[in-house]
Amino acid sequence: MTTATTHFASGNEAVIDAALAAGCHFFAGYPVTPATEILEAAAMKFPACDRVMVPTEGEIAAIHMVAGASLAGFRAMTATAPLGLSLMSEALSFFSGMTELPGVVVVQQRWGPGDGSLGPGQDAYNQTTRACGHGDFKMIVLAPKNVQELVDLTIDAFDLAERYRLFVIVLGDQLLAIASEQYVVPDPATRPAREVEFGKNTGLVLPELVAVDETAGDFAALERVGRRWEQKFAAIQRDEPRSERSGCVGTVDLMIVAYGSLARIADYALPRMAEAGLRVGLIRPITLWPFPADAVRDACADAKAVVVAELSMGQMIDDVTAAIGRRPDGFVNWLGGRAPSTDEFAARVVGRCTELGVGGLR
Amino acid sequence: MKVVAEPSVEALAPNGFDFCPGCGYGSVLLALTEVVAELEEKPVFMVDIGCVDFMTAHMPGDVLMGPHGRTSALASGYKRMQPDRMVCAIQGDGGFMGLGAAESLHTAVRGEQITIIVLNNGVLADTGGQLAATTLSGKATSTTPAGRAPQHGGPLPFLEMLARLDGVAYAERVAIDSALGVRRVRRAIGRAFDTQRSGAGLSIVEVLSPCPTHWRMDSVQAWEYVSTSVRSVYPTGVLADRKGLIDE
Repeated sequence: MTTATTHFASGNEAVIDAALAAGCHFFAGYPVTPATEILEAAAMKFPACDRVMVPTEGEIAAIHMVAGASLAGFRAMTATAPLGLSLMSEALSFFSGMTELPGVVVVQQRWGPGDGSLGPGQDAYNQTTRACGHGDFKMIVLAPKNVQELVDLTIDAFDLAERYRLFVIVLGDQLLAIASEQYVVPDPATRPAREVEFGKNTGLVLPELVAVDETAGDFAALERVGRRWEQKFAAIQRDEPRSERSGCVGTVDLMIVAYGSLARIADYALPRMAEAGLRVGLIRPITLWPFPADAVRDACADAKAVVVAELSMGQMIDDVTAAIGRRPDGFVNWLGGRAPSTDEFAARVVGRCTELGVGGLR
Repeated sequence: MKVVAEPSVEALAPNGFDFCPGCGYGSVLLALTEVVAELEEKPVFMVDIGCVDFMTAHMPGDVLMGPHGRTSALASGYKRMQPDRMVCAIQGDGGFMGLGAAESLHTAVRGEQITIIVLNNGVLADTGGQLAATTLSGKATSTTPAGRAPQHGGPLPFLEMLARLDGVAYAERVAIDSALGVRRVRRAIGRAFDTQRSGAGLSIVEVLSPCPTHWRMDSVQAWEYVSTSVRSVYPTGVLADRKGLIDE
């Protein structure tokens, strides 16, 4: 029987409690702000729970070792920031896309290209949902809003990874990384290796695409592999979109679309916007890929205006545009590694509504 | 001449091999297959990208082809979770000493309990014979048409560097340039697996292998080039033997 314990710790520490609860037996990683404490928590807790933790010389080795551990049948993970994810992208294309190994990568976003800033950002949206590595493949991207959801989604990530045989990205940010909150997590669980064909000495050749290709460039056979992948991704788009609504329902003056920490700030700002006389709703995508397009469309259907909020120059807004069939009426954002207070968020959105003439505001 | 055996290519490779005439990789594959045939417990194989990936379909066991250069890290992750399995990474000089040098180096630093077989033909052969870390000075390649010059640096003595590390339990360099050389490849691979089984640390076998296609030579000239030019820069022999497997 599984028991759960209430903890109070940072999001980064909580990730490792969730990994242990999910039966993750292997962690490899390299330090990078703001994900470093995940690595350090793994170094403390994995050996204590008789699991393997390898501090590697870099992100590239880390993701390859995770893939090797996954190939051996064990739940395995790493954690990094978007710049480390850049280094892992080639391997994710090979192991998630081409080899279909399950795995989990927790990514804590800090804003900016290159070394960027150390503060929170949401500019790894396109990186994770569009092009995290070369070629035709997708990974599931889960975006928690608080530490409890970071725990829950990290556990879900391991299940989804095995169900669909791909890597799942849990996309947090610097606020989630360092915020200390109360959370409930099941106690560490051991998990036997899953049944894997590799290693049974049947002459198995992996990845499948290589095995097919080695039998003399049969392009029809290669396309069959591609079609199977296409169907897998279509099934995920059909069955796995998740989102959450809050605030006003029915006909509203304004529907805000935001995810992650910024959605939480937006949620807290709803009463302030109500004080300005606005009927405001919030739709929060929890899965960034698959994007919950139907839920976003439904939420925005009866809204006089739609405003997208992001800690980037505008990345998710493209998915919102595709979902609702038009460009959203407004876009508010914060750059530089800075997130707004609830007051600042409310003021910015009310200001935008005034410009738009929404809700009788002038 | 008396025919002592008729090797059946169909039995070993129903779709034929992709190796060029005179390539040494087929000899390494044969040596590896013979060694593995005598093992009670079959290794799993991780193959790098390069001409080595032409070996993938013919490996004597289950095999995964991974990204270029990082095969040692991939194999290490598997071994960490399956410590009782024999794990063998097959890499070329381009992946092992060039693109994946950092991962190779730190696999050695950690003394991962795997065996790496490195096939060194002195060029990036799969892509058409470009400059590699191992190309001999003066040697013309498609990216150094006038020959490897001082501004390109000299051939990298990577195995000598790794052999100094405590984590490297066994390191031997052998050469495909004679029938004896091929037998020594077999012996070295056997010693490497013995080392892995003992849990002493990383075992590496570097095989100097002829590449007539990109060296612009015939097969006999390529063997002679290995015997003379390549072995003068990359001496064959045992560079590390921390278990004392060899008492000679």
